[in-house]
Amino acid sequence: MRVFVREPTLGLTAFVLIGLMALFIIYPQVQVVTVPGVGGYERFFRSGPNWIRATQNSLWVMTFSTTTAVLLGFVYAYAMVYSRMPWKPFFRLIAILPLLSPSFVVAASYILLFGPRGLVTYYVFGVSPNILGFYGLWGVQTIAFFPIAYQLIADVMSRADPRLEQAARNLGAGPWQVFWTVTLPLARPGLVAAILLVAIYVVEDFGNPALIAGQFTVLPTLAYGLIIGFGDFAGAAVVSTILLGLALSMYLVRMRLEGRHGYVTISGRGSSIPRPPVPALVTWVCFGICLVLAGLIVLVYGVLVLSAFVEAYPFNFQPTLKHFVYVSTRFNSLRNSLVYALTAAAICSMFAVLLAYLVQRKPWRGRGLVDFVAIMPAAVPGLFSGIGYATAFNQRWFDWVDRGALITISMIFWNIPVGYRASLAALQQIDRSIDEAATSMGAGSLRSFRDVLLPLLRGALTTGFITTFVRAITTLSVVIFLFTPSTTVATITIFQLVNDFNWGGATAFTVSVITMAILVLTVVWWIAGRHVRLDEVAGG
Amino acid sequence: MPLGIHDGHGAGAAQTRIRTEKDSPKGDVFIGGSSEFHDPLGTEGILTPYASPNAAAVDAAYKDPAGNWTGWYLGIFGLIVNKDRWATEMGNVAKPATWDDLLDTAYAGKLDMPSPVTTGGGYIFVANQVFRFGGDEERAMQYMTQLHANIGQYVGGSPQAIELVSQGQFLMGPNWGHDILTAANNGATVEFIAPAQTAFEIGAVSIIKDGPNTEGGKAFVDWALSKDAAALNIKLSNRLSVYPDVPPAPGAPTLDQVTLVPYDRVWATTHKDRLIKMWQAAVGM
Repeated sequence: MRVFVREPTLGLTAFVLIGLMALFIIYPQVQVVTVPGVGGYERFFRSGPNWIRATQNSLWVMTFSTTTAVLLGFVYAYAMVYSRMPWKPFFRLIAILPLLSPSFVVAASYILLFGPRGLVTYYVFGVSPNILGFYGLWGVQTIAFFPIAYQLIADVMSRADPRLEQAARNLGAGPWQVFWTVTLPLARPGLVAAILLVAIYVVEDFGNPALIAGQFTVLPTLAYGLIIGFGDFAGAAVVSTILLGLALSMYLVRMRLEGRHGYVTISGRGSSIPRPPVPALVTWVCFGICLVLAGLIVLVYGVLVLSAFVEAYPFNFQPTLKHFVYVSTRFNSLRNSLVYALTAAAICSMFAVLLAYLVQRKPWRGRGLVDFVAIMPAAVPGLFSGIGYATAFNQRWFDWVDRGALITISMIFWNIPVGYRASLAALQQIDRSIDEAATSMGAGSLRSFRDVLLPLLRGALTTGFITTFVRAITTLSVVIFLFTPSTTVATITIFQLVNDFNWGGATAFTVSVITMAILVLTVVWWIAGRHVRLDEVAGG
Repeated sequence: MPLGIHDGHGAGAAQTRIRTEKDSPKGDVFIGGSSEFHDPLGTEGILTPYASPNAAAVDAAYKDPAGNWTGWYLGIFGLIVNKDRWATEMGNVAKPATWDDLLDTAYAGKLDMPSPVTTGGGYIFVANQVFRFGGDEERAMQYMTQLHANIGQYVGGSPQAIELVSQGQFLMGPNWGHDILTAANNGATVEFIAPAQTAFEIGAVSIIKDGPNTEGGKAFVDWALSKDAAALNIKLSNRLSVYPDVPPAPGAPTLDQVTLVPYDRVWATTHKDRLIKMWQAAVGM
């Protein structure tokens, strides 16, 4: 604590940051966990088979979706990093699309393509599968989440030193042997991270199961049904607590595994030596698999874009711009989305970098706890966060805060972990002597942070900014209990349009959101002037 | 002062919002959704009774005796059938004329319906069966269990269930008559059938207690209960007005053209949670 006595401004900064985290991370979660009371938990757990079935279903779909998403993500990453297949820029671009759009619209598009009377299933192959249920959910989540696995694994793979593989080849190992004994072990940290992160996303996914899982109830849809059908907030809180327990334990496993394997031979800088060539057959198999995956994504988004530009898909294919004229009449929800997401992204990324600085650079008691609280939101399901904020802040004492600001705040604190962890990692790579030089020349800690470290942390800032922006603009579950008529956002409007039979309007809105997100990402990419990492990005 | 309006985009969601905000309401008016969603809020003291001057012309059967809500439209529950699929798969077989006709094993997995847990329509359908069997809950649950074998999907929202039948993903399903008509007008090859002994909803409007702009809310309710608003609602949504002298939308069935079940709305509202849980246990959901 002495550091803070010596530098009161630094102490004040730490005090404010910790106070805000206590109010906006811990308090709402404590609200949710304690709402039912001990008796409430007991009553609920005795109440019947519904929650047991939903927990089983959640674990079941988590196992299947995570396995396929990570497997495909691995193949995609391997193909992009190792193979010499053509069309790589196209594949890179396509894999970003699933991260940029609200998942429930995509689920609707799946039904149009692969439902009992889907364009592909029935009209092309003549089969009539009932995909609504476990199988549909499995398929949709695989496509929705494999890009996250791909980004994480590709990032680790591309940083692995090619000299190791070259050396193995020179010593006489065949391509197969190199793959099993060198490439795969080197990709292991990426695989571990991908498995556990995708598992969290799958288990807390609300949009896809709500639209496509039907009677296959999972924990988030059970919680939603309890609230909507019975007004049973206590029951929903218990379900959310189960969900939080699951997500949190996976997150802790990931932290442990990553910590233990932190010494894995990754140099952090690329080597100029080329990777040993993979056999032509492997390259073409990779190309084939990527083509199928990319083709699926193009189909799904193709249906969306087509629907946005015709009269009434699938009954009337007359081209029209009327849905976009409609979007312009409800422009305020698009504008709100943009304003809230940009504000949240700017504040969240700065907050995360400053917090990481305090935790990583300054010795003070209690920073271990602060570190834990900062990564905790990564394990909080969006629905849990939404219910927590609604219970904690829909109160008289909080009325002086504008609802739009409340939505922004919820987006800020739900997204702290990514920027925070990126900043921690970046700070570990910056030698302490650099900022110590500044302080010994007489600069205060905050000045040395601002003038010396911050410019070096641009990568971490960018990662935090982009992740927060994308997740904020695509989330439904966090805002569904917080919006008001004047602070409605695009995802809410899309949800309502789907409910109003306005499929054309809903898809035009979705296309607008995606376009907006791509424009913002392009601008950020251009300003940051560096490779933008998109791992860990996904809507909740 | 802007007016906060909670509309019927998922009446359950709006009801939930109003409940969580009861210490500091952000809305003034709750409009849309069956009276079943308004009534409990009135009992809980979250609504303000308001007798709009325009409500005088509304039939007493469509108003809350305590004055918490007023009906402003009616919606008939019925059956949506995809005509194309029926023609190719069923040919000249007669279409269902009663709810019991839906139990035919030829329809296994070909029906969808709104979920009784998350939608008002799904619940009204369950309650409809109880009243159809003269209050015999056991028989109603037996019917729902048998029907379960034919249901391919319980959909989270009533409109999505219609959308899926319109696309031909399902052959038919119980749903709201006015929404079925809207889908047909949008170009879907679907038709509305009103099976014997069906039910109808009263779409209600109410004022939230201690909202930011209660006077504005009252003015809005006055407007919603005007004949102009009734005509506009019919034009936009194909529902029926509570006023007999406001003509229905072209093709929309009226209450005297269908046979109705004796639907006890007070009973259905009071026993909602218990009946839904009974249904969940019966079908294993």
